[in-house]
Amino acid sequence: MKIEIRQELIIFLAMYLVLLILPLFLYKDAYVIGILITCMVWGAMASVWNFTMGYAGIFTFGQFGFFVVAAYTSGMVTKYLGISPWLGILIGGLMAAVVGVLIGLPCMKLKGAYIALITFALHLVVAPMIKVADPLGTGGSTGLMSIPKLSLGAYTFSRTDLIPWYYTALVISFLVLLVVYKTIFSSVGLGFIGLRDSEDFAKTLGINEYKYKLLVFGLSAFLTGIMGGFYAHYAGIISPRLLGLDIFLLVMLMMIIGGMGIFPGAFLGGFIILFLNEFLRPLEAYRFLIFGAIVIVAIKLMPEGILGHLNIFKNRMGKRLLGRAAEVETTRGQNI
Amino acid sequence: MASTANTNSKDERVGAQAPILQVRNLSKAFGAMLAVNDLSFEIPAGEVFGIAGPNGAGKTTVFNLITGFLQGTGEVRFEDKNVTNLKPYQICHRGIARTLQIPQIFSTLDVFSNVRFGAHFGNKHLKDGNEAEIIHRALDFVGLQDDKTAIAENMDLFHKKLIMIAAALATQPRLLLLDEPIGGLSPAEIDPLIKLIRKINQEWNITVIIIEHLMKVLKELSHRLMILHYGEEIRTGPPAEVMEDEKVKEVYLG
Ligand SMILES: Nc1ncnc2c1ncn2[C@@H]1O[C@H](COP(=O)(O)OP(=O)(O)O)[C@@H](O)[C@H]1O
Ligand SMILES: [Mg+2]
Repeated sequence: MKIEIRQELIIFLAMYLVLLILPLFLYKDAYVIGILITCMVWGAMASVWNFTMGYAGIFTFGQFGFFVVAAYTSGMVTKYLGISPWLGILIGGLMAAVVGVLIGLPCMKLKGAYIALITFALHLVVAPMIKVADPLGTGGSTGLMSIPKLSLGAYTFSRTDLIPWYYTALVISFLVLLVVYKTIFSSVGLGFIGLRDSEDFAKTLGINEYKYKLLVFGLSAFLTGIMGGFYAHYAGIISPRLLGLDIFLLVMLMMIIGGMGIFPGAFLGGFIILFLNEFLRPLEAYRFLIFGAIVIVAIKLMPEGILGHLNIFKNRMGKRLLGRAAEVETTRGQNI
Repeated sequence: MASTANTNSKDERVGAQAPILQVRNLSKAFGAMLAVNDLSFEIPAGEVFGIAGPNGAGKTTVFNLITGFLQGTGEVRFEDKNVTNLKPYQICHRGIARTLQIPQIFSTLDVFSNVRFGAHFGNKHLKDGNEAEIIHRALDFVGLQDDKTAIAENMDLFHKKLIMIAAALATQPRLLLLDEPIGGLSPAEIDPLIKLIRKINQEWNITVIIIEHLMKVLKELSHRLMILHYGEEIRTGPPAEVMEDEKVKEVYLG
């Protein structure tokens, strides 16, 4: 069997190698370890989003809906039903996948902006639903508290030692990214990318576009949900504030800065954006002014994101994606 | 088959074959406008069937109706089975491939992957391990073997058209619909493409329907020719006869 070593894989593995040994130097610094855990959670989420948007070309804005649905599902089934948090994370992911497919169904015949609207409606509707479902034990607007911690055998994770959390985040996010990577470079990925590049051409060549689009929705929601489930147990408390605009924007920035349609740019973007966020923290809400400026400058200077800008990939998708709007304009009105 | 001096290279046995495609009372309205109006025709297996007519006559719409890109009324039968209103991917799996009038390719993928897409998703005869063989056969045939690692976006129009044809061939169709395959090409590119289309018909035994504006091309390639005007059939027959038709001259050749 021929094994192809792609640059994407090398960067991906190199990043995890660094993450693997980083605690050797940082284990005393709980603050930095904490940030790194968040980086892995949101970075993986951004990577899945990039998979959906950058590779499959489906403009979803419902990723946080999936994340939060899974976080609550896992939090609640473990808190109230006594199910193991590990299983809870899986159940959360599956629940998110179901929601993903349900949201995907009305999107099947729609394009670009309409899909963005429908999926963002999911984002908007989750918070009120959590509040309305307070009597069911969601915790309403205050949030769901005392979510059970993970445990391994007799050992129960605690907030006083973040290292076990760190390595769990590392393993889970690694698996999520590995699935993304494997999918992108499989024949399934060929289908996604084909549908993104030209849906009509893809259809003439015999792809069942409904099946593949639903698969994108389901898979992307599932993987996002897995990160959401982990986050619930790590944070111990979750609230509808997760659906706030600030974290939404941060994750979107990770994707843009890292490079749309370039794996694993968004994951790298996670680290850049979150560390920047920490540096700028004294500015409080004003830091979004700086972020805004950074985005504008970044898009001007390197429209393909950091990895794209390094110009190491032969198929430069980010550029194409940003050029897409203009292209759609020029071909509109012409029939196929 | 009636033939002219130009049709020497066409396979003359075609007429005896059973129809591979039957179109009956096909209609499609966009709002108040009838783009295709009660159109019926049959195509024997092995034929190259030309369709011509003014811009907006409904030619592309006919292809879109046959291949499931649009839903209309009437009936389409392929190899004696009703394929009306199947989805595009189902049509492809039945054995009908097509190219698009405005060339579309997978721009970020390399040429090989473009063709692989057809073999992987559209080919129902795929057996274990022969995918690569089918892809290479298609690449060799259209002459894209040397460009197989090039990113499709960077290819010129002629080569983009070849990519579309190779990908369509990789689905192993029995009927191929070509929507203005010659359009926009330079004279030096037209001849090789005509030869290629003839080989598709004769060597690959694929029935071809070709929409084209250049009468010279249709005369050279097609056994029969249909002229459309406002969605209606004006005349169908051997190209030489059709081109002498008074009405055809009036509405189209003018
Ligand atoms: N999807 C569509 N929606 C509305 N009108 C269309 C659509 N497709 C084609 N038409 C119209 O139908 C008529 C026939 O178009 P078409 O089949 O593309 O013509 P041709 O290929 O012969 O140039 C034209 O007037 C065109 O504007
Ligand atoms: Mg047309």
